[in-house]
Amino acid sequence: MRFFASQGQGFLPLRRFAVAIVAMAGLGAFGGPDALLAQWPGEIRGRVLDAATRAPVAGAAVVLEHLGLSAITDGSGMFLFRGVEQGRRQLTIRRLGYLPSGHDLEVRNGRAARPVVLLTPRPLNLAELDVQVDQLAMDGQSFLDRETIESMGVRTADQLVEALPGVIVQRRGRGAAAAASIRGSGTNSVLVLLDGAPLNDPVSGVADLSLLPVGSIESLTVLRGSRSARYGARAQGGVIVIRSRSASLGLEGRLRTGALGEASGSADWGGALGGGQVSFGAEVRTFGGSFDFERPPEVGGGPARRGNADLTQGAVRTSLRSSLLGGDGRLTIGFESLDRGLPGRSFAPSDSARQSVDRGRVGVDWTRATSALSLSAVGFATRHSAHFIDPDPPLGLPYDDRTELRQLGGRVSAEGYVGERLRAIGGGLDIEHQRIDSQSLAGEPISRTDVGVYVNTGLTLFSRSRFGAPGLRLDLAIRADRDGIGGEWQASHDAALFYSVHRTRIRISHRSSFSPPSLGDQFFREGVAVAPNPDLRAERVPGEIELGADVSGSVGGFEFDLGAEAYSGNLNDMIVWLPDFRFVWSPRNIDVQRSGGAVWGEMRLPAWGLRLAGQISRDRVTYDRPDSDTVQVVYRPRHSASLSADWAGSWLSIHLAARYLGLRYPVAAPLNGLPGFWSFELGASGEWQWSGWQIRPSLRLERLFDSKDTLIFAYPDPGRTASLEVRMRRL
Amino acid sequence: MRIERRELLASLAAIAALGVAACGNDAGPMAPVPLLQAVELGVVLGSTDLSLTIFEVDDPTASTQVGLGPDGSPVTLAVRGDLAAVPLGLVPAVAIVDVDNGVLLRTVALPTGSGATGAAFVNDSIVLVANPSLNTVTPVNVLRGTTEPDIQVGRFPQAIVASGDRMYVLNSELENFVPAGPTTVSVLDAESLQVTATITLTGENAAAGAVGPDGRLYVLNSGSFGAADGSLSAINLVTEVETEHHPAFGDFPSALAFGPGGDLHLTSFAFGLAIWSIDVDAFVRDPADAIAPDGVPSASGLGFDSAGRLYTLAPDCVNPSVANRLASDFSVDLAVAVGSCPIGIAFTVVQR
Repeated sequence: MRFFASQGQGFLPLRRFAVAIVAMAGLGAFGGPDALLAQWPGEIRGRVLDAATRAPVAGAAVVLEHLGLSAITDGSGMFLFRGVEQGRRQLTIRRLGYLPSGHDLEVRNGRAARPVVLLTPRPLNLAELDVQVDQLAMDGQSFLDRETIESMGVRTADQLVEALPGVIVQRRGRGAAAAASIRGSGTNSVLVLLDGAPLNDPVSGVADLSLLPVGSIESLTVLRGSRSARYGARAQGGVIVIRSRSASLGLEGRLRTGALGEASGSADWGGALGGGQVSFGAEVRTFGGSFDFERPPEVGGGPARRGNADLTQGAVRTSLRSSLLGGDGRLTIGFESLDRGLPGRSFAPSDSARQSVDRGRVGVDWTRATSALSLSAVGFATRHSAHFIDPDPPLGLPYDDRTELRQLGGRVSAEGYVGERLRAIGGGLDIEHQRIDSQSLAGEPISRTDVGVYVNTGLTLFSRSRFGAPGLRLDLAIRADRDGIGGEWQASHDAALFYSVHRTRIRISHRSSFSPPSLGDQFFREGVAVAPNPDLRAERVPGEIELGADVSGSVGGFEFDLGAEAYSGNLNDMIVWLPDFRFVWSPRNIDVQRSGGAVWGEMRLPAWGLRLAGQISRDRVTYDRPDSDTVQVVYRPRHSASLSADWAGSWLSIHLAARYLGLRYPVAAPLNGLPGFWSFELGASGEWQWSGWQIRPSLRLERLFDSKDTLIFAYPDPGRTASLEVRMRRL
Repeated sequence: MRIERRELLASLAAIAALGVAACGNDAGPMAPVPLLQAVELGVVLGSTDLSLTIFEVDDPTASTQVGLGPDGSPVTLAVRGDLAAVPLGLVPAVAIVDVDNGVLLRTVALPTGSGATGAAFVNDSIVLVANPSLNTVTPVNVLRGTTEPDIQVGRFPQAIVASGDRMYVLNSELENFVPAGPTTVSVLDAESLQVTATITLTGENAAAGAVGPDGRLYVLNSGSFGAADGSLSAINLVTEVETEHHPAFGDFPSALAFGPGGDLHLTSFAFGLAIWSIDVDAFVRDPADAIAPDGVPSASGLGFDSAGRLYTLAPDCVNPSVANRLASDFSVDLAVAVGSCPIGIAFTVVQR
């Protein structure tokens, strides 16, 4: 599938587009924002958290009384009501194992109310309503909701996660594939789930986050650390849980243009259908990608031009949400398509390498919660087609590889309320069937069925009887996974103790995880200079211990959230491709030592519309070598950090962000290190109403100070670029 | 340009200072002039950590490691005086290293798609680097960091031997990385750098060569991987004709060097260290009875220092490895820590 055949040129001429935006902005300036804001209904974007641990509460039933609207919180504890008329509204939240909770809040037209509801995990007539935006890490996780995603002004999912604690995104140029590493993991040891379906490529094990435009994402959660006890295989460095966008009431559109021939547009519409909600959306993006650059002196220097870096990307999506069998049901259908050049490394560029990906997906999920039992079911079907071709590579042999993946899977889980102490017992079953036909793999098409079963329980050792009193909770989970290829079983566990007092929460956990060899590791075609390894084993973290704490509060007019976590857990049998001295490459197992942590914080001054946030992460991931334990694994920077400052006025918002990637080694030795570097970005956006539309133009400058450093050597960056976007919403 | 100006100013300042010193009328006793001492250095190329390990032969604990750059796949090196040239394989460039001071001086770009493998010094300033993917060699001025126009040679050149006024480019004649014909040798005049002859050999996939004490050029042919068809060719450098071809050199031999007694020593990942007598044209230790340095029947390179001591490289591409110095009974009498996947060793003498 192709969108807009002209590569490297915007489909809307830049100058005309800019004039249109300036004109719209000028018209908007004559309209009073408040008057027009009042013309469209409000929203409630809330989150439900465990009052004792601040962990998100999934599957909670949220009812907007008197309006007959209801919602179920997702895995991040989020719920959303759109199109809520202004006035005093009452929310009722129910969840198994928690006391039902009711709250009043004021909904104003044109505004989003953002309640964070703390559910008390015992039958006591106490509940708190804490109206604050809390997007910081809790229980080793970071969460981005739709509003945050929109405010970031980025294009694809990989850009959403790269400023989060412990996350490094490996990409090979703008517009190129991008994959996340969490806590120094390999990119194929991070499980990415889109509506419950794995996004990881079955051949490489890597999930290309650049495939997902942000317009398709409702929320995104990053869970750091070993998570196999809940999510199964590949959840070793962490898990990224993405929920696709749905049920957006009204009409929205977006146009964007920028440097390097960038142009994109999207449209979404949502409305009522019977007793439910339906939405449709589509998005296209083109990117030229060519630029001149200076080759680094390490490869001899000299001017060069980056070509064959174009990208054409498109996505369509639809969703239906409705009450079903006494619960909440949701159907999502999406299709993503991408075609791009693969320019290769700067010293060995390719003019002919291309990649195309088509991915179609259908997902259903259903949740029902009663006073004694919570049930949920997820099903998905995916067809993924990828094509890599280079008839004239600069080095090596021509290739033309197609991979067809069909996967079908599902998950059912149940959790029953037991009592005050033994709060709940639950369990679930995951089944996933894949059929992979790939020309890059040897032999016949591969069919595999992976199965995972798990049980979990939660014990309340003592509860918060009143605000300020301590609470202590123990969560336990074990899981067994059967590999569909080798038939081996892998066991994983997760034991977490949560303690809270006042606004401080402390947690300690012990977890295990595993990441099996990818099909590419096991079934690659033998040829010159590659050989299989019949003894290859799955990667395994047998025991990762984590200690974390976070605190929130306010001092004077300041609100703050602070957090820190530390972890340690060695990785056995990390899979890396290494040559022998004949330069015959094979996948091998080597042991790695891991430890590290992160510190983050956010400070808000609502009266001034000011928000400051930052995080710094340290991930010591070293080869387990006798007498030499300080060699950091290749391309895993030990340090990373991000800082941001946001100011929001009545009609103008400014965003300044900086990101640091520390020293990293391109080889398995403390040699040839690439020094750390900062990159900055600046964004400005306004908001006006005009002729029944809410219009939000925004300007974004990336690499503000024209730095050209990259995480991975020889994939050049063009430096400073600008893009201009206009979002429109029918009021 | 700015650097050159700075260097010029520094030079002028140094000259002025020397002039002032020379014009001084200090009648005191002259300070003793320190005598330079010859120090022999061993230089080992680590192919996967992109390193050169430089150690003093008489004091191997005095070693330093130099990074060659963040990318590449070097498998060959050439050393002359205090300079080493390392073609970077996938990176079309050659790294020039000051082995005396242990610093990377510069990286000189080669033609795109070079596949840079194989190098030999023509003189103190010019090193000839092979471009196997382009079937050419590039003269590189190591002092200026410049290149001369490429010279067309045979197919897939990946080793160069310098001898007298001739340079011998060993063409492996590979196509898609497998032998497509017998090895050829392009003969270049070292002064004009013109190809004067091409010699066709019998064996396949030339990997290395050296001139023996009998004045003949010996070329080690690796053959096909796994086919155990390695062989040795001997070339009369006067007639420029292959005079001998000996098969049965085992599986994929890849490095050779002549020992102080005149025997040809060769190594292979498949058997370790074998020894061939060029006097009787027979193995002293054949591949089936090869020496296993430190008990490992495998070696990835070898070399002799000026005292005639043999060093073999241990094939470890996962961890930092060692260069084993062997005693006369081939036991390891010293292990020098080197980079991972060591694949080439050379010796040179510098003045300190």
